[in-house]
Amino acid sequence: MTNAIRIGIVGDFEPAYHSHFATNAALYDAATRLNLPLIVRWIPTPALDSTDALKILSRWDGLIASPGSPYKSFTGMLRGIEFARSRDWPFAGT
Amino acid sequence: MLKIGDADSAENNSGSSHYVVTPLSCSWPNQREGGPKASGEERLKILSGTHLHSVCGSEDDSEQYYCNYGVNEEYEKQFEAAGLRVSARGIRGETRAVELPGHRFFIATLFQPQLSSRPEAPHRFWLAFLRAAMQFQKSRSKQSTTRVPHGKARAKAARG
Repeated sequence: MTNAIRIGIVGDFEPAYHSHFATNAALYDAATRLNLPLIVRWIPTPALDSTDALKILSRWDGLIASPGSPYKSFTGMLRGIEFARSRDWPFAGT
Repeated sequence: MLKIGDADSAENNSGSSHYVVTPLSCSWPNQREGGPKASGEERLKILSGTHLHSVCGSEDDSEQYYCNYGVNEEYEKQFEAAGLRVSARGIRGETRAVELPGHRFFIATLFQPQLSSRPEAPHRFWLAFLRAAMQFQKSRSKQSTTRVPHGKARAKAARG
């Protein structure tokens, strides 16, 4: 059995925002097609504006920068992107 | 990346002299009143030889948008000099996607592939992203199981 793929979405989840709902749905639909167990969690941007940022970010097998700016913490969002860029972590910004 | 200390997005209204992200100037067809500037579908060209092209498999594409801001074209040369490559353009040449060559998967798009993904036809972008994450997980777990524990490595070094 393959380990679940863990995807962290950096962004401030708004249930009423269709793009956010669609991001979750598209990931689960793609995982079903690939027959991959998947875990998706949102990482609020203020959580990355802290000394724990590296620890939080390195838990995930792939990182996504969510749509929906302005973000609660622009610095937190930039940290997430910079982490993926400089450490060769799979990253999608949509 | 660009070594611009006060680079910012215009929507943050910071008073920065370097807004690298600015409001989209185009007016989208079928723009909704009260909705964002770019909402709905737009045709675009995915540039051949790019990672995005290998993911999406064709040059002519059309994607769903829901946004107000985009890359300030005045900074495009600087982005490219810093290593980012444009991988998709709108019909008037506007930047629609960028990527980082040499990175295992680093693609940013102005369009939102999640908006046109369907349960019966998940978008290729997300299939490719999850495959990259799966391979990354495998490479990480291999690394952690093949790494010689510190103690053992030291003992071996001492022996000879």
